[in-house]
Amino acid sequence: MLGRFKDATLNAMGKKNEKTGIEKDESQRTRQGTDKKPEKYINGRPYFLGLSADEVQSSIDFAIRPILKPRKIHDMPLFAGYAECLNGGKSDFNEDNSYACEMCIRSQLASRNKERSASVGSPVAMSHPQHDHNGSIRHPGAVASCSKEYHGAVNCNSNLDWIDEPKKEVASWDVSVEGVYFGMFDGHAGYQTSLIASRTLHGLLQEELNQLFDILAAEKNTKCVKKYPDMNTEDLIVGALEESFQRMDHQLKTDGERYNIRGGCTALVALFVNGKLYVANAGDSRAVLCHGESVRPVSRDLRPDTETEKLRINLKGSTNPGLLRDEFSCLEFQRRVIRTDIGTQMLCRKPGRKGWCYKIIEEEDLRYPLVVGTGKGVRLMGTIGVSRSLGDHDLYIYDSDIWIKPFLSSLPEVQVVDLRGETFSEKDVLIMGTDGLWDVTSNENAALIVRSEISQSAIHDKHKYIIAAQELVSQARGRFTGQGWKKTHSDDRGSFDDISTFVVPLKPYMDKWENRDQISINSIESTLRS
Amino acid sequence: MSYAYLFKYIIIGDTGVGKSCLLLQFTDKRFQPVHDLTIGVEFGARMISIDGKQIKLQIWDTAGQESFRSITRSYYRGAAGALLVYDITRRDTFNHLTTWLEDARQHSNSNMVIMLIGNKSDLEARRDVKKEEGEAFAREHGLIFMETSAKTAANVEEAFINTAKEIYQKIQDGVFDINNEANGIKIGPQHSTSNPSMPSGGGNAGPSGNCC
Ligand SMILES: Nc1nc2c(ncn2[C@@H]2O[C@H](COP(=O)(O)OP(=O)(O)OP(=O)(O)O)[C@@H](O)[C@H]2O)c(=O)[nH]1
Ligand SMILES: [Mg+2]
Repeated sequence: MLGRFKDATLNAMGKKNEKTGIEKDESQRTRQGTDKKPEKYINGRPYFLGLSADEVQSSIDFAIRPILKPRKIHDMPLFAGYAECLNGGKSDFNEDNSYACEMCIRSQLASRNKERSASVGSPVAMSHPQHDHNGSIRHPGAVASCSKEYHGAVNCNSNLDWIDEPKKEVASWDVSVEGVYFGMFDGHAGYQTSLIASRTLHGLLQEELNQLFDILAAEKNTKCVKKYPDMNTEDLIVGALEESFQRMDHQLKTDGERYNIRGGCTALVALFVNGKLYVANAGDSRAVLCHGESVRPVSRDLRPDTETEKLRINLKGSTNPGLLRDEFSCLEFQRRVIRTDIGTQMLCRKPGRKGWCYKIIEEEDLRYPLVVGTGKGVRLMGTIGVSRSLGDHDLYIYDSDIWIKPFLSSLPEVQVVDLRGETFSEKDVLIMGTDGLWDVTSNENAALIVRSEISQSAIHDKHKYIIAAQELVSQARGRFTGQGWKKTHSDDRGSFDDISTFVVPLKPYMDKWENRDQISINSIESTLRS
Repeated sequence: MSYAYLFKYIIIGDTGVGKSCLLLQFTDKRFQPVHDLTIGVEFGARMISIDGKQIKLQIWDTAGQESFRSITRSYYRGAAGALLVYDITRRDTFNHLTTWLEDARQHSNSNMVIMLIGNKSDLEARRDVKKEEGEAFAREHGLIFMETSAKTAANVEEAFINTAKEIYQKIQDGVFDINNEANGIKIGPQHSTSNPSMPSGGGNAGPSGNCC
């Protein structure tokens, strides 16, 4: 995602590019690059892949680019599908990372009681005083939630209290609100940020949602009285998502003081709660909803050339001219301005404006535009291809002290889809993917692949969504030929990037939601039995 | 764990012949009676020793089911050894060997060592393919041959280790270019010929904590 700050750029800035032809991470030199701080987590893949540290190493195979998928289907909420594969050699590790879990949203009071009882009753929990969050993240396979891989080798915390859950907690089951979370993070300039975000963001979100417990419980059970009759619950959940993203971004900053954290990551989160789907996106991963015959994106790719992003970035520059350091221009011209244009008129879009007007070109209009290029080639300040990300606190323009972070937003754009009252079949899914998938796969084609894989599987085959995810990745990666990676059924190029995808079936969630009263009774019974 | 070489293997053959069971027996010394259909590809690893050298085997276990063929094919690239497995109680799995062999030869590097395995030798009463037939097929196509049982573990160690020995011999003879990773061979990160912490001999350094 990060591009080299090209010769042209540097020349335009009147500086000489010392190093050219730098590949991989070297190009993304940050202020911290040379520090010798410890890593927060060692390179790890999503817990549901069930890989040991040794196996993570073995899976880094650029000749094969193996497709990895969950080993234990019961680790996946809703039996959702997932698959991933490593890039074709553009970075040393898979810089994507993901997470999935069921969330049990409960009142803060209940969580606080629980914490107290856990710390009294469980020395294990005591030995990890730094709880990231106090809610409970529940995996369908209870054992999986305490597996070693779950939180990595370092800073293994949280969740331990769940194991020692005292019986008196049972009562809170029927007053809990269930959510399902899927998060996908595409890192740049290293795997650290996406790894940390994948293991942390859901906990922050859980904390935010716990604070909304009364309101969510009222929405779930319409018999309850609404706390704020005028407040739209959707806005509160959107707010919780936004808050958790910004807290995550902030945490990456503070983590950076103690750990070796470089680069940043995009984030795409799908949260199912109270019969609605919330998709929060900061970056260029994408979620696509396939329902019946309809196939539609439920997130927007946010790149520097995205119209609204370009406006935001240029406005930021014009209101904070100091950030431009007399090197960049926040004006947008029809084309790159050259010296001979000085004195002539050219169409120009001024910061914060929708429309264009004529401007007489001056010397300072020769400065490098904040946003250059389009599509995959777009760059913000000649450096980075996304306009929103978590992290990147130490991202400077190559060989300079011009800071990029202020132009990057960590706020997600959230779309809400009300699933209630709709009917769903097993073919209705939410497809989430990093740009490695979408660069070479159209939304329609992805839907086609998924539907065809699902209809070829036996009705009750719980693996069908994994098979579908695997096929998406396989077709996006393609096969290795003498001329590199080519798509399986054509001569088109396969994706050279890391590829990750979730295929989340909507029916199991909605069935659960429709039968929510029954479910809470069942879960009380099963808790009592065990 | 440090190793002198890493060899990559691929296990191929019809669905249900016992590929995953062979791998499990080799890495975990267990047998799994129910057929857990492999979806795409799984993998496992184990350390062995040949000639006093630690060798790590990294094994791709592929799905036999036809529908996964386009996915499994991509794993031939960069495999130094292949175990081609049939089920001695099912003649059709033996009849399909030619197709498997063609597929393997087409997608792998020409030096790949192929071991033909007639599995389920414990089911003598239900035998459908004579041992001599397996031997003849192997001779005709220049393969090594063995009958194994993933259930009793008979010959399982030997199947994996003999394949490694053959690859090792090819390295000694200079047939394999070990600097080309697409050959399925990697030189260990801390290549040391004698490592006192390693158990020696017996071609067995124990299971490497496999998953599944
Ligand atoms: N008796 C006996 N049964 C075996 C042996 N090896 C495998 N089986 C059984 O054969 C069935 C299939 O074994 P798997 O190892 O899952 O087959 P596979 O070749 O991996 O099949 P796919 O993954 O579909 O390609 C299982 O029920 C095993 O228990 C053996 O040596 N003896
Ligand atoms: Mg198998």
